[in-house]
Amino acid sequence: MTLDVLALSSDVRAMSIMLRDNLRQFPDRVELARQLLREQAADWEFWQQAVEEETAHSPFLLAKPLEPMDLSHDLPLCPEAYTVAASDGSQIDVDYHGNAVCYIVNVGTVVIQYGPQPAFRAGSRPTLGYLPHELTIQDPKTGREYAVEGAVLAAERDLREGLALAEVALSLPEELPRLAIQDGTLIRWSLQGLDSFLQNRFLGDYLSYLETMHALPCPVVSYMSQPRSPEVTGLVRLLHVRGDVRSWRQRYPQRIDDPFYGIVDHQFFADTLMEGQRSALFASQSQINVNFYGVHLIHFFYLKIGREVARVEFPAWVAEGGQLDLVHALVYDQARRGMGYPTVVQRAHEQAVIHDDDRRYLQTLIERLLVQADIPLQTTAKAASKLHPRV
Amino acid sequence: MQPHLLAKCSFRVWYSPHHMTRIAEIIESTTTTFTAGSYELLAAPAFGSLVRAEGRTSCSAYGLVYAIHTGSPEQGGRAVVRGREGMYDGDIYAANPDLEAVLQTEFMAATVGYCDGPLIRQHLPAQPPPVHYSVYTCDADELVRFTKRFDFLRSVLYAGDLPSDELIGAFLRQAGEAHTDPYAFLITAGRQLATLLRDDHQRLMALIEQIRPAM
Repeated sequence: MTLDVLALSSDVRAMSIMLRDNLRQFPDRVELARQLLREQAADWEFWQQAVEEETAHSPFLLAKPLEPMDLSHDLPLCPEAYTVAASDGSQIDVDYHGNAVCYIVNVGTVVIQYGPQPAFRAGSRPTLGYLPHELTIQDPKTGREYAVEGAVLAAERDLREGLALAEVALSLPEELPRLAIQDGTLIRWSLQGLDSFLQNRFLGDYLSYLETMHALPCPVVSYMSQPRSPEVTGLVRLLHVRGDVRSWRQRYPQRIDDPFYGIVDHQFFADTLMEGQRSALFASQSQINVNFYGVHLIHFFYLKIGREVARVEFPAWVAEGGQLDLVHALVYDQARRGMGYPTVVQRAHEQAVIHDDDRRYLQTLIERLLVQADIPLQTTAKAASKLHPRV
Repeated sequence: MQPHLLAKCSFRVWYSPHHMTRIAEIIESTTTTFTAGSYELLAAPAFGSLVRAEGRTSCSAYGLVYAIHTGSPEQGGRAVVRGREGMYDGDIYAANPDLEAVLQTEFMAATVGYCDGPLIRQHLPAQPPPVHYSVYTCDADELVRFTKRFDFLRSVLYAGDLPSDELIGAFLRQAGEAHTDPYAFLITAGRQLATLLRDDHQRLMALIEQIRPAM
């Protein structure tokens, strides 16, 4: 039976009225936030200290300012010749209603060289996980086994993307400026919901990838289009209550009472940044970043590209090593070439993506080879009922 | 060269791929047409060219290139305008080296015959050329050998989904250049067309006009 849209219509109407009301209040909320950032910009070092002290007690995420919060940096000159690399990944998760318990991870990598000797190199590496040690991860201390599926498989894919990018970065020419870009975020938020054993395992390997990039050295960044991050919003809330974040819940017990309700970081910068400009530099105070990343602590800025404000993240050593201008210029150049989204990341995605046709072909291949191996095909009643509804 | 001499020559000598240029790979194949992706972007054989598609046996298919297309092979992929002040045409490719990999030039060829060992036959082969097999250009010698006969003209003339007249005109002009006496070759070809189009004078004259040597 199809969705009963009529039953939802009154809720949809109520939702549209709520969104309209929010939208009316939105410009005032954003302006209040910008005003706070402007007024307190000169005392940024004080607020940096306040953020460090209050992070553990804050009911919301915080961004630590690393320079006056209202700064805008003009676009630096982009080198004519440079090399850029990217990786991306996709996966087919384990399907227990299918004929074989297995998963696929496909990681694509791309290198583009610009300048007098232009070059392009791309490739993908698909792997099938089906062996017992690939389908589960065992904690050697407790003996507990974790199935490699869902969030764990996503963490595995993230890790492989990083390791593949490090491998590619090793081959980049040293004589040209270089940059490695990943899609999304360098903060492994997805690990926060996992057991500490899995967190340590995946983060340890992930940080070793960042360490490789540090040792090369090859600056590594992530590019997030249409980010929903609320960390600068958290800083604004901290400014609003004069650093007393513990009182926030008493002051604004309902979310709707929050004077900055519904605002995400990039909205502060949409009108204040000019084309190509970047925002001030911030450090993410997310728990996983502060507790685990160490010298790779993730910093970020926002960058205006056409109609979008993108979030660019990178480890602390990129900024400390004086490569911020290079990152700013190259990320913008890539996004400009890609009509708003970095070309090299687009190309890596094209290498990594698993289309529906590929999924169907793979399913057929698995079934055919199982039949050839005299293994009877088994489809669960649930899978069969979805494929052929019984009426 | 006389047919009986051809028969004495070994297939390997005449058709060794080392003597020809491998230009593309078949990506779609039917009994009557095949589509090939060029190894080099924007480097498809000319419209009307004769190409040879490698077969699994000694049987290779001949095709006339009747359509050329360059675009994104990705589903829904589409090229966007990239030119701007000071950067046009070839400069766009130099400034965007990834374009060489994300665009693909493809061409379609109408099958007009096949080689059966050293013999060239101008009708459809029993099997279409296999997908992923190579496509080669035909050199002047092969063009001359192929145009010993004109049986293929009928099937091209009456194929409903080809730009038939333009295709025949373009092919005969190119084949003429391969012959030592282009004028005599085109006269012979024109006579063949006159026979086939004896009931369609206007079409015949338009075709003759296409292959008429410049005076």
